[in-house]
Amino acid sequence: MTAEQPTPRQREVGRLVPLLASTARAFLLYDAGNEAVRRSLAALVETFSSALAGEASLRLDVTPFEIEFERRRVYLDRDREHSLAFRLYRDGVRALVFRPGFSGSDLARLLEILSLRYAGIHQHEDDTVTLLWKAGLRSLDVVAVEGLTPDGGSAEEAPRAVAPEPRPYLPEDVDLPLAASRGTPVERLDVAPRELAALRDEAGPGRLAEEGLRLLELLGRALEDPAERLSFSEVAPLCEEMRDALLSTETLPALLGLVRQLQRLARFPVAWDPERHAAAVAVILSCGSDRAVRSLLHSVPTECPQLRPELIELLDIACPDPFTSVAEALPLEERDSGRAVARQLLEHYGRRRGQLVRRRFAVARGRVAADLLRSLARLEGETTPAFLARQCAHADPEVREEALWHLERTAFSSSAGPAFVEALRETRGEQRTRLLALVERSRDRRFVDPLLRLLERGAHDTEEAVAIARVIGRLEGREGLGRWERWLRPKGRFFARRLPGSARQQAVAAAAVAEIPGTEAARLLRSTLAAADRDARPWIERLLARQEEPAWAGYAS
Amino acid sequence: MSTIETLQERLARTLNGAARAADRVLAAHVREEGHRFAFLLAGLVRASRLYALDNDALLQPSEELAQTLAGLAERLGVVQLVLVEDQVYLNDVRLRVRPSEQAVVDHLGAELGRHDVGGLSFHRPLPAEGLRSLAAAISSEARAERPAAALRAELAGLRVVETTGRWRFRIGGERAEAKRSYPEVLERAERVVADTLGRLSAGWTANPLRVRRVVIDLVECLGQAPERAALAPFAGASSGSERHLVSVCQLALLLGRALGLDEATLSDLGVAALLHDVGYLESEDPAGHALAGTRLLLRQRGWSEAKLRRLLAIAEHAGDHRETARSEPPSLFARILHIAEHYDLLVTARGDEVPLHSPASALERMWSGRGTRYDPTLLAVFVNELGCWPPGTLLELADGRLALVVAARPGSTGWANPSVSLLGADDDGPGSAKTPAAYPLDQLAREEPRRVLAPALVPEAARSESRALLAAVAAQGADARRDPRCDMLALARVPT
Repeated sequence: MTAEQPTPRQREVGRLVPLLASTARAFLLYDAGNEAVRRSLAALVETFSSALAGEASLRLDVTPFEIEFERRRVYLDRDREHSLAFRLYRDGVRALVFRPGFSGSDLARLLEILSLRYAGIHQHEDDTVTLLWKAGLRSLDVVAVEGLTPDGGSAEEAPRAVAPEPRPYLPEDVDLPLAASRGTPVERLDVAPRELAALRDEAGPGRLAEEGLRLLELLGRALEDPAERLSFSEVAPLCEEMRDALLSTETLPALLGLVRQLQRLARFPVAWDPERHAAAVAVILSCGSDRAVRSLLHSVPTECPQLRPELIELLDIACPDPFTSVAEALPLEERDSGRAVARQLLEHYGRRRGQLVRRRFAVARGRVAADLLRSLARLEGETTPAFLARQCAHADPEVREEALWHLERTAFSSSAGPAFVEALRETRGEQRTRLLALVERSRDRRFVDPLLRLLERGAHDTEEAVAIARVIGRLEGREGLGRWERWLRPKGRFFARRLPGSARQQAVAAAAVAEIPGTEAARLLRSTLAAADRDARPWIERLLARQEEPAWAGYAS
Repeated sequence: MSTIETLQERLARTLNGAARAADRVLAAHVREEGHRFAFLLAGLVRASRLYALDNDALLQPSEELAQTLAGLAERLGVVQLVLVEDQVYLNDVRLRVRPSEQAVVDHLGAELGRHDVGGLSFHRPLPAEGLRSLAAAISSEARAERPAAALRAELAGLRVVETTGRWRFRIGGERAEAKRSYPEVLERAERVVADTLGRLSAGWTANPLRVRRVVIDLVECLGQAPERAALAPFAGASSGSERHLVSVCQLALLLGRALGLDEATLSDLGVAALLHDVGYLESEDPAGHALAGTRLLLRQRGWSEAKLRRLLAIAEHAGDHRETARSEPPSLFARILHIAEHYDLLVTARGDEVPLHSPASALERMWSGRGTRYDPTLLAVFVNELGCWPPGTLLELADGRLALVVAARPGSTGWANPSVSLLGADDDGPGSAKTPAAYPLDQLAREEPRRVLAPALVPEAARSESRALLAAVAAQGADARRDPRCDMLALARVPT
């Protein structure tokens, strides 16, 4: 290591590499959609583009615990489980050379590979070196050796296993292709590019689920073949791996196909494999387990939060109690799209058993309770405006919000009145404002007295009180003018004329009067300004100014 | 959507997929049970120093160890315990060892280290009795010479335990591997294939990572000199299964590359090709070997797209393109393997016999099955790559000279005008390490060749010269001996 001060580029790379390591690990610790991951990723992209801008390549040398740039340590982590250096070193990577042109997409691929190598138990198929090679990153060179180094002993002996049995041989008639027949002169045929593209597509990721099912179909035939005497236990791990790989909304049809194949196998008893039925049923049930339901909900794409019929079919087959599984999964699902589908499932399964949703709702809290309320609201006959209005007084703001959303889209029912009043007492701020708007929309004068009582309680600030008063004014109209006059008639003489009551009472009364149509109310309001308390004047001035606006005229008419 | 959000979405998709396949619950289970397994094994090794194998003191811990191993094997397939310096890993999961437990790990490492062994792989569960024998073997005195081999021999009777080398992390002074030459790659490929077949025949699980590394080397070598792949049936040192598998792999890569498959897919195809006939380890019946091979490879645990494609390709590779008019064709990999395999089998000799067909007549045979036995488009691409006289074809020219096709030439004009070398030419002499120059056929002969010589009609001397020449061309690449004076020479040799 040099003792000199690092150059600006060394400092930059010194920030870059730990950021690369922490971002790769972040994907394992947090959901990839997490805000912290987004920030980390943004910082990484910026640092990468800045480190590679206008410069030659950037070479990072890898040792077991450290990563070096220009012979200066830019990363150190001695924890072998967490260390990026150790992961790379163990797989044989000795240097990474980033060249100009290394793009955001390349970075994403690199992060995928690093993240995958941090996790994983079955990693015999690929290591970092082969994954990087397969990724075909044109602007990243990998200097590698093959994994670990033998320590002592015979170098060629150490890593090799010599099987105790002789090598196999190919029999004489191995795969003999054709019976003797005359050949046909070959021709050179031009193959159209689209034919080649169609063949290439067959090797694309889109065909994987289909190929998996084909393989299972072939194995399924063998499982039924007495000559093969294939036991289900040989195939079960593959079925489980396929299940895990297909546990996604995008591959639901294939997952359903897997379940159907397993159903067929379970129905086909064979003498040589008496455990088959139970084992196949166990795999089927695992496709509808709580974990499976969670995975399926978590994979619902953001852009399409719709319940697919295949999911219902799958749960009907594989899940003994779909309603409970979904209800249990709902609190664990963070993504809006997953929760949307969970709600739709609850509506589906709750259709005939609405009381189950109601029961869950009664004990749920926060966001989950809000989700359940939405499901309830959509279940015919399960909610009424009164029920929804009662939820406006719920302890959890998410539920109050949800209830308001529904009430705003529901016709007012007078039976909900008491619940509205109760909710007005329990809510504050924006939610109370929306409730007041609903009350006002009802045009039901029976709200006046409760609203007045609410005002009298005085547990709110002036702005809220003014809002309540305005609603009272609108509901009551001219009939209420007398009530407010006593607050707005000045007392005293000449320059000592003042309105009675506090500034808050004056502002409230003025707000109510301002909503009452007619010249009398307008005159009263204008006359109050001079005598009003200094603190009430701004309120009254605003009200007077609003009266000048054409919109007011429209409202009054 | 911003760039960051796009990246995030893409990563989320991939990692969610991976997370589904690599269950965290499983990781936790492996960590917990792996810890238990390692410590039980260490205890059994220590106890076996004190007690005889049949002593009751060993019974209970060995039973417990057998149960733990069986549980792990059921979930993992192969259970791999590796000790590296002061660390212990089970199937790539590092086991968390408390400071107070470190002495146990160090002791187990030291016990294995005496035999020059750094890890143990259990390919199947082992009963308690076998585990007691294993512990006794580990705790016994190590041989002074080749201790690892001695321990392996001692454990051979157990049939499920593989010992692995001792590893350390070398800090410095290490050089990256130089690129291997094509003959080295071929030799290594055959060695890895032989080893893989050996492991499978012993009931062990294949290690596809080693096979993949070889395939990657092959893909890179063939990328630099694609004409080599067409010579694959005649290249390589050994014969038998390994030669066939490596040859089919190269022919499949040739066809895959001609289709435009990307290198990642080519490597998956190559691994499938190298393993496509492993079923013959279990079944000598050609009709049953495909399924037998699939069953053998089913033992590998862990989800991967490559594994799935490989299993399907192996299961279907022996089937025809269309068994009936309405049947679905096999997978792409299987159809490629079908063509590559049949071509290789038709053009190569079995044992001491002469090959069944010349490459040209092999293609004609296969052409007659176009659309029924073979995918018509794939076969057309294959034929376009190999030419009407594929490498290895011996042509009798109009003037009676024998010309061996050593490389196909690209494009429609090269299709019927391959690079050839004259047999018996005095360029370097037959059997020489150097080989005669290669020329486009039309520069050696103005007329069409008189005929393609069937292998049975080729004189022994010409046959051995052809073999040597093809092997040399494969090793060095056809370009190496394309003579810059070829035009002049060719004109000089054209009979008047």
